[in-house]
Amino acid sequence: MKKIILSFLLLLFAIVAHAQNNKYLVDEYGNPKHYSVGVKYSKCNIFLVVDSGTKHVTPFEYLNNFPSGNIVLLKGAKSIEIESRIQKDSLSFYRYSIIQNDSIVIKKDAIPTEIKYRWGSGSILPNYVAADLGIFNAVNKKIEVQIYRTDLKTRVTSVIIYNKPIFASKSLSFKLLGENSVRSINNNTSLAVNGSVKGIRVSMENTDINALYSVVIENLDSHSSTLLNPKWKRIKLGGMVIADIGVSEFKLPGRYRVSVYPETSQYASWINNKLSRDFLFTTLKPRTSLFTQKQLIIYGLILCAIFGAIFGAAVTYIKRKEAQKLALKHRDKEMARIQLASVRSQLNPHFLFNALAGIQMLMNKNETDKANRYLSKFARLTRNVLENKELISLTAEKTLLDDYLQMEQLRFGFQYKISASADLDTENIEIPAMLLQPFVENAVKHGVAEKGNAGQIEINFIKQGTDLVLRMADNGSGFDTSKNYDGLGLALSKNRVSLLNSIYKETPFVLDIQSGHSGTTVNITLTQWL
Amino acid sequence: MRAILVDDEAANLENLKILLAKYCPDIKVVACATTIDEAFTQVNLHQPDLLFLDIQMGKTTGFDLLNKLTLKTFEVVFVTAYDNYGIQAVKFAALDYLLKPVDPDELKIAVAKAEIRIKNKIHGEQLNFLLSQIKKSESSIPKIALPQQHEIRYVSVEDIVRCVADNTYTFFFLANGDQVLISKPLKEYSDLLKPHGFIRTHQSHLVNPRFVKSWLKEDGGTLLMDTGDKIPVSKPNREMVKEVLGK
Repeated sequence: MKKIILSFLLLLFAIVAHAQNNKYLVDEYGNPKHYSVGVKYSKCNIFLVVDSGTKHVTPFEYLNNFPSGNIVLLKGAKSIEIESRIQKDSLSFYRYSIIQNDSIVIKKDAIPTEIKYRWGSGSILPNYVAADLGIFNAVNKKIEVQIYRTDLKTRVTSVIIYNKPIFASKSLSFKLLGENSVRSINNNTSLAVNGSVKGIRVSMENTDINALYSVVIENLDSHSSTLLNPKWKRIKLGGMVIADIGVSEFKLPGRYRVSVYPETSQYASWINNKLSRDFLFTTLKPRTSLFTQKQLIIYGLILCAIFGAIFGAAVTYIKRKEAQKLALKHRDKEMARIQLASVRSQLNPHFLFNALAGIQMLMNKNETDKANRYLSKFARLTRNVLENKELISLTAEKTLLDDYLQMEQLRFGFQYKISASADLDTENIEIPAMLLQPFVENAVKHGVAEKGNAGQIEINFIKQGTDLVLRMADNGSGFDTSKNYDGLGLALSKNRVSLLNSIYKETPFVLDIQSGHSGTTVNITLTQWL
Repeated sequence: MRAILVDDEAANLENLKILLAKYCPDIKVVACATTIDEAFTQVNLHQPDLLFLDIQMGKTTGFDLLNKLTLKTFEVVFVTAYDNYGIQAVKFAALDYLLKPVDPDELKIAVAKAEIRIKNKIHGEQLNFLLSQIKKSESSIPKIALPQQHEIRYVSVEDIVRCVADNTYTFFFLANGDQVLISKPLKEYSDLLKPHGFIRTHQSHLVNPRFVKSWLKEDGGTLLMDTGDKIPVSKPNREMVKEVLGK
């Protein structure tokens, strides 16, 4: 009898077990499979048991973009049981809520009271009980379980049990975010990513399981990809949600692919994923954004500094060169001046002593008045030579020539005339002193001296436009201008003219000598002197 | 007019005496002196109208005599053999001077000018100015005497903006805006002021570079003065002006 009862019981157990097996999805030992669907490190645990008709259970350990909770994807589940394992004395400190399809609150902050199972003191979970949080119809439903401890009200553990079909993102669109603007971009667009681009905004139709949707951006050239777990934000219009991709993800030039896909399993891939939706674009090689603005400024400043330094050095160099050139020029001029001074001071000694002899003659003839005057003239001439002035006025030059010719007149009885164009400001126009003197001396000695009273010398200062012409003409017998007459003071004069030309480069002195049987004419033209 | 002649060479005194007797018979030579001390005594004794004063007298100068004579009721004509530092100072004071050997015509002119000054009784002032200029250190900025018909202006060389020639006259443009017309040719002043940095930009223009604002390229070269005046630079002077202004 005892055997019969035992076998009946066994049978009954078997039936129950069988029935249980039919009811629940079981593990390899035939026990109902308890899926731990809670959140890592949570103070509260949640276990899920599904019916045996369930085709697929995808428990996640955790989702990056859903840090406070977990999502469990189910396929074909009809009913689910939810339990939490709690210390038996602590039950009253727990509260739980069950929300169906985001709208129907089945339980709200309920205290777990139903106990499914108690673990004994020697078991693996001593003094723990399995609190029954309910059995729910799961057909095409989203059931959210929230549980928290009253001493940690803010740390709510949430699990979404999702037993609905999952679709690819719908109404997916992309916009380029500028500093102050947002513009739509089409697939396969080329983008110039400059400093004002802030990112790309992805928008899709809102779902009741947005957290499942991930965005990955892949550089197709370098094959580097970044998985973004965006926090989808709802926007007011059109039941859409948005998520932004920062510009740093696609700043480098190259081809990019943005994939939006639901993570239907842990470590689900977007590649060859039927539910993945792709968007392609190319970041163009930047024209200006090779450097950031800050870099540009810094490099700009450095370049400026370098160019500045080079420029400065060049300027200094050129200035120094210029100064050297100027100094050299100055020195050349100074040399010319010194040489000129030495040339200028050469008054024919023949003349000097003959002039003194003339004065002596006057003294001996007791012509003291004449002697006084001629002595003064002689003094003026020699003083002029000794003082060696660079420039004298035309008036002073006229006086000197007059003094000289008067002294020569003492010796030779010739006629002379000195005149100047009426429109010449003889008092204020300055010329190098005694330019004509050697020619006048020459005219006296070799031209008119022998002619006596018939001899004539004419000196003219003529204004010809901006040129000043110093002219000396005599009616002597002339000389051959092609021959070099050492004694004629010609070489001296030519030397002086060329020295003057090295100082007054812009206003050249031109010496012209015409000589024939009827006389000699010397023209010294000071071009553009006036 | 009563005159005293001062020269360290007796022969020069004799010569000048003869020239004065011959060409300026109105002058009565009351005394001659070959030393400063002697001259000092003679001047105090005779109170002459006119002094012919040699500048270089051995180790002393004619200026030493003037320094000793506190009361100057006479005119001075300086006599010197050669243009030197002393004569420059005399020129700056716009005083008269003769060069040896003395030209009879120049002697006559100098005496005639002295006569006018004696009549107008402008004594001492220019002489004191001359002495003050000589005492000054060489680095200090000299003043120049600008004799006008009724007054003599003493102007610091620094305060002369520019000079413009008008035949034998010279217009002075001063920093305070005054214009002064002087009856001497520009050449005299250009010789005096060039050593003090002045530049002859043109036959009719002498310019103080201190008052030059900029070089204008119009007409081949023009100087713009601080006063806004434009001064022409003639072609022969262009390089020289650039050189001076470039420094």
